[in-house]
Amino acid sequence: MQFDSLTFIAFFLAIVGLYWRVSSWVWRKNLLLVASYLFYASWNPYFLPLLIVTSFLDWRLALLMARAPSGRSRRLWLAAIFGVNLSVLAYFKYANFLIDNTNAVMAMAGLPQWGFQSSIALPIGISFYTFHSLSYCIDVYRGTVQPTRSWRDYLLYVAFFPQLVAGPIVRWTIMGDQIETPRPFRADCLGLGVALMVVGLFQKIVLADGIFAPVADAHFGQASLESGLIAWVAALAFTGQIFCDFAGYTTCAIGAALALGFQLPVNFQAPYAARGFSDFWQRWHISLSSWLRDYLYIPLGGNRGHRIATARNLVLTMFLGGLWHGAAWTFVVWGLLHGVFLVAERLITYLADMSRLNVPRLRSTLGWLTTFIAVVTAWVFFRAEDLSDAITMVVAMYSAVSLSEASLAMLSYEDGVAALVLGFVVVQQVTTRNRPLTQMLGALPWPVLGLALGCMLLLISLSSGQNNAFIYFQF
Amino acid sequence: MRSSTSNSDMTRWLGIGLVALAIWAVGATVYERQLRNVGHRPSVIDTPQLWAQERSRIYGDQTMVFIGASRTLYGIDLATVKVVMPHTRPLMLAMDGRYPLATLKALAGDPEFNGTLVVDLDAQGLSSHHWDDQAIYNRYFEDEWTLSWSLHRWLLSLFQRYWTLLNPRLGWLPMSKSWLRMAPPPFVAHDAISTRREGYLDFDRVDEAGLAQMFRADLASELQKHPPPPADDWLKTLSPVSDWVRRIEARGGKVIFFVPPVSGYQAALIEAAYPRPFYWQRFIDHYQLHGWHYLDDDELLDVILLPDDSHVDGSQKDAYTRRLLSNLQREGLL
Repeated sequence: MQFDSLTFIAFFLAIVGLYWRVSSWVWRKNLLLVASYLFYASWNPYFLPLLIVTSFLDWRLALLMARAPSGRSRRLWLAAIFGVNLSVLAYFKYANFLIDNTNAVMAMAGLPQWGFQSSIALPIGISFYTFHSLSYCIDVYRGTVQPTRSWRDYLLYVAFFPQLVAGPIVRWTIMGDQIETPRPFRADCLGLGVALMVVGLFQKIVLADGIFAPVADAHFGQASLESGLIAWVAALAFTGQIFCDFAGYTTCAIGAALALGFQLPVNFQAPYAARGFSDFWQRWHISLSSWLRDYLYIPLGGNRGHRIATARNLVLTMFLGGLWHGAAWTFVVWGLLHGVFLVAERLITYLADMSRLNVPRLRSTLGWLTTFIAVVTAWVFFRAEDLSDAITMVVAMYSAVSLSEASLAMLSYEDGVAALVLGFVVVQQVTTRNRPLTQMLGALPWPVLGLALGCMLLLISLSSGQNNAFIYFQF
Repeated sequence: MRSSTSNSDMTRWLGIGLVALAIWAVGATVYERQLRNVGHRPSVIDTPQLWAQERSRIYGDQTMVFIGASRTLYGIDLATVKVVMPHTRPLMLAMDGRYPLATLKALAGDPEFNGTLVVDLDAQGLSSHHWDDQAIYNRYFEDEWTLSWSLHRWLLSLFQRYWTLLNPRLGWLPMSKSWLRMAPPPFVAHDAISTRREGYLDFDRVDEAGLAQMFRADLASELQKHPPPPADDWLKTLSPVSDWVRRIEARGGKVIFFVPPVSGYQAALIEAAYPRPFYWQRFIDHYQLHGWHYLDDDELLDVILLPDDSHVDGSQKDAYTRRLLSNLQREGLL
């Protein structure tokens, strides 16, 4: 049940209507839990027991861990929690990858391959809900949160349908209070929630699926990529698509939650306005990057040690971040590239500070341009079918790009529209780089907001087409 | 229910909602009128989802499933089938522009299917490069189709029946392209599809001669690109098709092949490339299959007109369907 399907609209209207009619908070939470499981089962009901069992197990193990008498036994409980969650994740997400690569290595070595081909289906949202659960268990282990005694509250925290299949990855520190305390009805939350859903659907249906995806799909992996200009158009189109697709999903998720009285954290804050790579990761998929920072980078040592150790921690964190996205070498390379970018940024900043070169405006402009170009280039690896396609495309992008009449004639109307709209998206992000979307919508005079939402609804209606799956559903 | 809403909040959001709905309603109405003024009409849009919805209904031994390409999609009248053969439950799985072997293969692999399969397929469509034409639809059904999408598609079809603007071909992007004079305006379609995937062609809305010429050119180009293989080689490649038929028959189902009518230059082209005695008839005889060819009915083309040389006008669907069923019954195939 995708957010951009009529089924979801019918489902959401029914749930919101029912939810605000029920007066008991307990029964409202029960309703949300059932609705969330229904939402999840609509993809593949066979994976619902997995979600229920793993989240119940995590709740129980976290409770036992909190009651454990010694630090050693707490560590053992944490290891058990990691064992359960990471084995499930590894089996469903990485088994195929492992088998394929082992077979490839065996073939290269002239050894017999494993006699079976794995075809394990990936439960939707498994990477997201596993990280949800792990963050709670680690926080309980660290003593930063008290474990909840209510299994229903915990199951709702993991399965809450607006954020279940593609985030944001919400911590218990944010959701715990909201689940335990009754949510009062507020018209402004309901109104803003619905408005955010319209904006999110506009980003997904009109921009991502309507404008950017056809251009990216037409050019990625095509022979025409021998032209550097077309390769850039394809990479830029995907740059627009991935943002509008994922940010669109998240905006819908935040809106749906808000309409039910819950506040989810911002997941995107003008990422293409970033003036550096660390700035980028504080703006792109914020809930994942902060998860990686708090539960991986800092425990690895963060930037507390020698510069080389910091560089190692950065690259390792981003490598695992890449692998989290998908079991493919393209994601690994994408993650590694970002790791290298972060290391390079630290090095350049260090050298610039050493040389006392301090021209803030120049640094921020150059920082923005370099970050944007590098991020666009890295997206090629994220989108390409395989490494070979990605390398071909990057080589085309960085060979001499001809702006001759013949090259420009190869561009279609759709290519031009995609480039233009990406330009608008980037300019909008640069000019409003630190203003959250909710604040911008709230600041608009009501007739202007009504007009904008009406135009978005109209363009959504006029962009009827295939329902493309949200890109992040595959993770 | 506790509430902490002030009256001003309520008024503000009510105002925003009303303005948004008003803009949407006015904009949609104006756009819809514009489309209708230039001749566009609402139609359900055929997609893998609509196909999958019908595909999910094929179970039961009373089902009669039509598979094939556009000549069956737009030629067979399911209501007429129901009238002529009241005990059957007819379904349409033919697809515009795609030969049906991938669907035949998928249905053979579905252990629950045991109905009657009526397959519109000529010798060209049996050539190996057409085997996967419909595979993408079958993959969609197997991998992605869910109850949730079924409900979505049902609702979408409901809206598409009344709103022309829900046709992706007439969306804001293609229309803006034509308004900016970078492309001709989207053509006024002469076809329509129902929620049950019955097609209807209205040749009064198009230039028949132009259409016939376009199909001729397409066919000539296709035959040049994929010349017919030697008949013996071609026949040998078809044993899997025979296996698929046997698998359906072993479950109590039935498979009937037929070649729908073509006329004029198209008929001459296809007969020259794939002469019936060397290709299609050998396929039927060699593998002992049930088959009927439109040339078996000498008077068919006198009664049924094919304005573009290959498709039946909507007004003749009933007559064509009756004639086809009567021929199949006369031959003892149904």
